[in-house]
Amino acid sequence: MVSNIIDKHLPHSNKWRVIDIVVASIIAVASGVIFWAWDLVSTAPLALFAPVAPGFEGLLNGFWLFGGPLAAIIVRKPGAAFYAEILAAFLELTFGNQWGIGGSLIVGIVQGLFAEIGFAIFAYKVWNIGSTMLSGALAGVGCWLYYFFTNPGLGFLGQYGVIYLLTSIVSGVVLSGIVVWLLYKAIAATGVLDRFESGRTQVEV
Amino acid sequence: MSDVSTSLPSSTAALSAARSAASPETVVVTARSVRVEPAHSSSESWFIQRINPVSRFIGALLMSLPMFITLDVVSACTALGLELVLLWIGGINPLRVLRRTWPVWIAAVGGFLTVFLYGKASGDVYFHWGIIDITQGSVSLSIATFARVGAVAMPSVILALGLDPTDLADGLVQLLHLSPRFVYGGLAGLRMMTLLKEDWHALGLSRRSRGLGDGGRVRAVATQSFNLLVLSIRRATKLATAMEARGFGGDTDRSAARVSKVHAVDWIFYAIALAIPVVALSAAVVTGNWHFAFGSV
Repeated sequence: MVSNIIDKHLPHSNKWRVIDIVVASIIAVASGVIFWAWDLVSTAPLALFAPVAPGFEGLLNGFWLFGGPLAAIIVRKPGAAFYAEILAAFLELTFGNQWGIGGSLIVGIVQGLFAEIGFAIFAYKVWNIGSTMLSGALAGVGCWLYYFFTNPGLGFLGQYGVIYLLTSIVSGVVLSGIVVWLLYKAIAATGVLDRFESGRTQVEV
Repeated sequence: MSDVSTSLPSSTAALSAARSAASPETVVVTARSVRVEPAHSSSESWFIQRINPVSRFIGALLMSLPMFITLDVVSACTALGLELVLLWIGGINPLRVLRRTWPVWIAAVGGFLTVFLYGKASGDVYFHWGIIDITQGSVSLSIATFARVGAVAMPSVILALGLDPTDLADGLVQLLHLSPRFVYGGLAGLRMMTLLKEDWHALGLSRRSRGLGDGGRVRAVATQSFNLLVLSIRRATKLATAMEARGFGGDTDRSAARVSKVHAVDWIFYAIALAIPVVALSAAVVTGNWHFAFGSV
């Protein structure tokens, strides 16, 4: 088993270095491209299936939530999830999609804030699969909050709302928690993260 | 150094004559007055082109946020109509606007259907099955939702199209005083995106030459995407080192080569942006259609 105990010789620092900013940005850019591609791919299925299968919308949400948790688990700085999710959302917006500033940028800010809580709640000291899953789940909650705030025709806590919330959380936990963690592990295994704390916790201590 | 002179673009015959006459040590530089870089258009609209990129965002927020207070057909349709007319005056005709924003309308249909079937129930019940509840209330809410999705998303999509990230970054730092490290660091990441396409192609070729990626299509795309992600992180790491070597991220204040300012035209834009929801919401109140969005029905 790989341990997540941080090497005592290299204490965790919350100060952002230039490399943290640039790498978080490139992860955000890659995520933004996927967000946008997912906007296009999901347009027709959402319009067709969301009405007939409640919960379908929520299950698709994970693809828009992973940017923040992925950047956070890699660069491990306060605000990384927030920063990356906003930048990714900004990119998604400028490519042009169906939601405009609200459904891309504002929802990104809300999701980023919620994803951030997953790590902030542990004072940025716990960086494991648990905090990543929590971050993904909370991003799902943020998505639900935004969706029902801007869709008042459906109630927040009506049956549709609750189903949406639960499926959104499930999607967040799976795609933006577990999958993100596995992706991070695979990236770390390539050695590309050797200048990061996240690339040094590979060694058994 | 002689290579440098040959690689410079020559725009006039005089310049090439000067080059052939120049000794190998001389670097011929195009005269400043001859250097032409066509100004790229940041929007199809002559008006939107002129406003600061930061103003585009502020304007989009001013336009859309007030619309969330009410959910009724009158305010949504008024805003939608006003926006189409204003964009037309701004140089983009309605047909073009609709073509540019087609995904918005598909999403609006999705929103319509969802609220139609699951919206808050009130008034006569037309159909009931499981959690589906089509009522008088949900029908009118769904029509309002359709128009409002369009009214909120359409102008911001048009405003965001063609936005220049560099100009926006300048504005964010100089006008909104966001941290230059984060703004320009983010910009550096964005600018690397143009490389991603080339990287993707190169990766495909190199995998091919090693006999990889001929198996399942999905699997090949997945592995290649992962390779691209790793490659871009590696490149970002190098870029960060290069940026630091050039003094980026230091303690001293940055000076700005490009000045980002708010002009009178920006204030006119804010006024127009705010007028749209004001007129739309007033129309809803006057006609008695105001429907507070967060009420119980």
